[in-house]
Amino acid sequence: MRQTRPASTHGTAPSAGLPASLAGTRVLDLGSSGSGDRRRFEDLGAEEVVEGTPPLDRRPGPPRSFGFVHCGALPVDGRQLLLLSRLWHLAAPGASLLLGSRVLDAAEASRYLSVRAGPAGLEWIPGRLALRWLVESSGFDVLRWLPEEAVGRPSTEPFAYLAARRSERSPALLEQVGAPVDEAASPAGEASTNGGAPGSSRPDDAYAQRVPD
Amino acid sequence: MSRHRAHAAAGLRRSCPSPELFASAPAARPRSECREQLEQSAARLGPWAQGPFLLGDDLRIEGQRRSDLSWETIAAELPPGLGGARVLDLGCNAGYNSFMFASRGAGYVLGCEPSRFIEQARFLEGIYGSGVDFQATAWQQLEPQIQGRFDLVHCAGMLHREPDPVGLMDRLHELTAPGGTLLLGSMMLADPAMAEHVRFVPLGYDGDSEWRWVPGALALSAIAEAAGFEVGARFGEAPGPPGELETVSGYLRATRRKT
Repeated sequence: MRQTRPASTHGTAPSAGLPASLAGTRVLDLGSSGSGDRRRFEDLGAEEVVEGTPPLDRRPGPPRSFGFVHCGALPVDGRQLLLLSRLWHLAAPGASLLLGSRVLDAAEASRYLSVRAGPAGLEWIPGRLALRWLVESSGFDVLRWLPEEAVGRPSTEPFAYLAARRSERSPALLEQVGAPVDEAASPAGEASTNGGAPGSSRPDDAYAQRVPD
Repeated sequence: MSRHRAHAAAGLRRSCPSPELFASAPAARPRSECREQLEQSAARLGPWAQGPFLLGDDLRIEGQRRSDLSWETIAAELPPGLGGARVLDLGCNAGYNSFMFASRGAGYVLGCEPSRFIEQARFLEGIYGSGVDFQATAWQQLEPQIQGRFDLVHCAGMLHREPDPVGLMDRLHELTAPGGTLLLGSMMLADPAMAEHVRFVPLGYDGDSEWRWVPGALALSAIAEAAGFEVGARFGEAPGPPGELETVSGYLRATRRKT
C-alpha cells in the first residue's frame, strides 16, 4: 500500500536513499529548502551543504565538486535533460545522485513522457523507463529505484525516486552538440543540424555558455 | 560530385539552386580552368547531405538527400513571392532552402548553421551571389535585439535532437515577428494513440546511434502553442526511418500570436 506524505515535506530526501555517512562530502540539495534536509545531511557529516533551485541558471559551485546531489522534485517542464546535464557537470566523478520525480502510472506509457497542460504551464511527465533513459543519457548510471513504501508521495500524483551514480562518460546529449542530424529523421529527408554552439562539443564549454558564473 | 549530361540536369534546374536563379551570379557556365577548381573544392567540403546543387553547365553536387523534393513540399506552403520578407533558416545545413527562399523574393535571408556544413553554404554562396547571410550561429546566440525578428522562420530537423526543446521553441517565438509564420519540421510518432506523448529514444536503443525526442503530433502542437504560436495545419508527412519505433516526418505550420 502506498504512503502519502504531506505536501509540506515535498522533496524531502527519503532515508532509504541516504548513505550511512556523508563525511567530508559536499552536498548539493535542489528544491528542498526548508525541508530539514540540510540538518540531516550535516548530521551525516557533510562538509558543506549548498542549496539550489532548478533550473540552476546560476552555477552553485565549482564543477565536479559535489559528492552527493539530491534533487527532490525534478521539474517536469520539458527541460529535464538540461538540468540533469548541469548536475553531471557539478557532480564529482563517482558522486551519488538521489532523484525524485513525478512519473506516469500507466505501465504501457513507461517509455514516453506525457505532454499536457498543468497549472504552471505545459508538463512533460515521464514514465519510469523514460526517466531512467533521461538520467542515463545525462551521464549517470541508475543503480536502483527506491521502494515505493520508502518514497511516499507528496500528493496524489505518482512519484518515484531513484539512486544513480555519476559516470565518467560525458552526457551523450552534449557530446552531440553541433553534430549533424540523421537526415532521414527530418521532413522529406531534409538535412539539418541541431542548434548547438559552434565548437562546443566539450561538455564544460557547453555548460559555461549556458550558465553565467 | 558527378557529371551529368545537360539534358539530364535540365529537369532539375527549375527547382534547384544554380547561378541562373540569381541575377548577380557571375556566370552560369564555369570556364574550364574554373571547373577543376570547383570540383576539387566541392570534394574537399564533402560529404554533402543536401543536394543537388547546380554549379553551372552540367556540373552539379549530389547530396545524400533530394533537397529539391523537400523544397517542393515547403514551396507549396508559400505564396508565389515572398515580397521582401525577412526569412530565418535555422539549421540551414548547406543552405539549400536558404537559396530557394532568396530566389522566391525574400528581402533578407539569414541562414544559421553551427556545424561544418556552413562551409558548404559559404562555398555555394561564393558561386551564386544570392545575398543570403550565412552565419555559423547556434540558436542560443540569436537575439531579436541583434538579428531582428523574421516574417518567416524555417526550422527542420532540430527539435528532436535538442537537449532544451522548450528553450528552442521559446527562442523561435522571440525571433518570429507577431503574425509571422513558423514552419517547424520534425519526426513524429506514427501511433495516434500516443499523439499526446513524447518518446525519448536513448543512445543505442534499437541500434540507433543517436538519442532523440520523438513527439506525437498533438504533443508537438501543444509545445508550439505553449511557446506562443497558433498552430495551423500539418503538411508534408512521410514515413520516417525504418525501425522498431514507427515514425513519420512532417511539418507543422504555426503563426506567432500577435499579443
